[in-house]
Amino acid sequence: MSRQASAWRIIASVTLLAAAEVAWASLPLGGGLLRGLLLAGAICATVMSVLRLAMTAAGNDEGSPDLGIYDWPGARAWRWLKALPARLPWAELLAVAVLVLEALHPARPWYTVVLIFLLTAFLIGYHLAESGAGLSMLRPQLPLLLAGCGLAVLCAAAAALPGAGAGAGWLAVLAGLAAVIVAGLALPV
Amino acid sequence: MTPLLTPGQRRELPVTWQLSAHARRLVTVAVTGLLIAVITRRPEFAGLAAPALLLLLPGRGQPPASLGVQVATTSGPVTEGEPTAILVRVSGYGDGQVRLALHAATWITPGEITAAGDGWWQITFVPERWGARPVGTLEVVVYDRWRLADCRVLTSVPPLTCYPRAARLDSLIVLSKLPPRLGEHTSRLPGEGIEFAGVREFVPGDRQRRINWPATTRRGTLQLNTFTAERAQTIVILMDVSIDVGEAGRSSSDLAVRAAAGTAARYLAARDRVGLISYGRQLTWISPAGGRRQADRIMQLITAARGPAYPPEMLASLSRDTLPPGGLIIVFSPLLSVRLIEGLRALRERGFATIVVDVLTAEPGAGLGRHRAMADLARRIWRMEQDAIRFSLREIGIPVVYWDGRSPLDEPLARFLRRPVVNR
Repeated sequence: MSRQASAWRIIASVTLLAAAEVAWASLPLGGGLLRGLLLAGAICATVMSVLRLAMTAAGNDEGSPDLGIYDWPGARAWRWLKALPARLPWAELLAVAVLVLEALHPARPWYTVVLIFLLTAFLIGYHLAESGAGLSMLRPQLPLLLAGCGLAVLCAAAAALPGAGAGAGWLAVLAGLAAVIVAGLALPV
Repeated sequence: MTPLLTPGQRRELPVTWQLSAHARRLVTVAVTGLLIAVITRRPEFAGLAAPALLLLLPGRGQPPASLGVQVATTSGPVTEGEPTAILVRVSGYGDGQVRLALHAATWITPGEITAAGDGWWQITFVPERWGARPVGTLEVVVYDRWRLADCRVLTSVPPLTCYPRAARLDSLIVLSKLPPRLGEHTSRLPGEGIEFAGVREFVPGDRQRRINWPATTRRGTLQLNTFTAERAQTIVILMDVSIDVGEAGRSSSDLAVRAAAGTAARYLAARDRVGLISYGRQLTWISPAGGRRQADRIMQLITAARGPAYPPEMLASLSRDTLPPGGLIIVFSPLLSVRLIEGLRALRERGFATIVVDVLTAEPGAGLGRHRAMADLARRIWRMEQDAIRFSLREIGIPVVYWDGRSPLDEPLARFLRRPVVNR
C-alpha cells in the first residue's frame, strides 16, 4: 500500500514539474503561430506522459491495442485512444517542445538555467516513476548530477558575461565534440 | 496450498542490450540542447547537455551476452479456480536488476510476483478453465546497475494440466438390482452384510450366533436374523462435449466436465466401478473399474476432452466391457446432438437404466432491428423442439433433469436418491 502511495506521490511531483517547466518556458506569453503550436504540443505531451505513468502505476500498461476487425468504429477509436499514451515518446517530445519554446525567447541565461534544473528534475522523476525505484537509486549518481548542474551554471555565467557572442565559434566546436561524445555513449550499447 | 514445484533445466538465452527509455530521454535532451546552442549561438543551452551527458557516463560497461533462466513448475495437475504458482530464477546479470512479467494466456488470471528466496521469484496465478493448455510467455527484463541499458528475453512457460472443479454430489443413486460384486450398497438379496433384513426359522447349518432369542421366545421355535447382501454397482458416465454453447466458464462443456468429475469422484469413493465415455471430437472411453488409478485415468480423459467436431461414432457400437449390462448410465449433455439422442434411445432399448442431466445454459439470442420478430419466432420454435426432445426421452423411460451448474448435483438428482432406480 505504501509503495503504491509512494508511486502516486512521485507521479504527482512529476506532473507539477512538467507543468512548471511548460509555464516557465512559455512565459511571458507572446504571439506567433509557432509559439502557440509549441505550447499546445507541450501541454499535450505533458498530459500524455503523465497518463502513461498513471497507466503503468495502475497496472494497465497496454502496448499496441489488439484491434478486432469486427469492432464497431467507436470501440476501435476508444481502444486506439487508450493506447495512445504508450504509442509515442511523449516525455522526449515534451522536453524538445519546452527547449524550443525557451529558444524562441530573447537570451536570458539565468532564466534558462532554472529551466534546465526543472527539466533535469522532471527527467529523473519520470525515470523513478517509470521504474518504480526508490530515491536511493539516485545516491551513486548524485556527484555526477551536481557536477552537471555546476557545468550548466558555468555555461549560463559565460553567456551572461558581456561580449559572450565573440566565443560562438569555440562554442560550436565544443558542442560538436559533445555531440560526438553523446553518440559514442549511445551507439555501442 | 501451493503444490510441489519441480525445477526445469537452466537455459542460457542470448541477449541484446539496448538503451533504456531513461537513457534515450537523456540523449534526446543533450542533442537538442547542443543543436539549439549551435543554431542560436547561446551557450546556456549547451549547459543543458552537461547533466544529461554526465548521467550517461556510468553506463559504459561490458554487459553479459547471455542470461540463465530456470523455471520450476508444478509436477502434478492443478484444479480450476485454485491459485497455483511457478518459480523463476534468472542468473548471470551481475549487479543489475531484473523485472519479470507473465503475459498470461486468456484462461489464466495472473497474480503477484514476489521474491521467494535463493534467487527465485514466485509468480502466482489462477487457472480459470480446465484443460491442458499453455500458460503464457514469461518476459524477463534486465537493467544494468544505472538503468541506462536493458535487455529483454521472452521464454514460454511449460503448459499446465488443469482439472475441472468437481461438482458437489453428496448422495448416491442406487440401482434396484446390483451385480454380484462385493461393495457398500445394500442389496435386496440376503447375504453377509450388516443391514438387518428379517427373521426366519432356523435350519441345521445356520450360525448359532445369529439366533434371535426374543423372536424365538415369542414363536416357540428357533428364529434366525437375516441380513442383506452388500454389493457394488457399475456406473457409466457419459460426458457430452461435442457441442459447446454458452459463455466461457459456464458453457455446456464446462458444466458437463465438472459434473462428470464430481460424479466419478463420489462413486469411486463409495467403491463402485465407474467408467467414462467422452462424446466429443471423438468417442473415447474408459471401461468401468474402481480404485485410485481409475480416478486418475478418468480425470486425464476429462481434461483431454475436446469438442466440437464432426459427430462421432454411435454409442451402440461400444462393447459390453464399456457398457456392462445392469449398469447405470448418467449422461451430462446439452441434448443438442441428434446422434447422441439416437444413441440414448438405443441404449434404453438395450435395457440400461439411464438418467440425463441437462446442462444447456444458453439459447439463441434475440434479433436486432427488423429481424427481431423473425428471431423471436425462431427462438420459440427452437424451444419447442428442445421441449419435444426432452419429452420424447421421458416417454421412453429416460428421465431428464436440469442442472444449472451452481447448486450441488444432489438437487436435480434428489428424486432418484430417495429410492433405488429400477433396472432390468
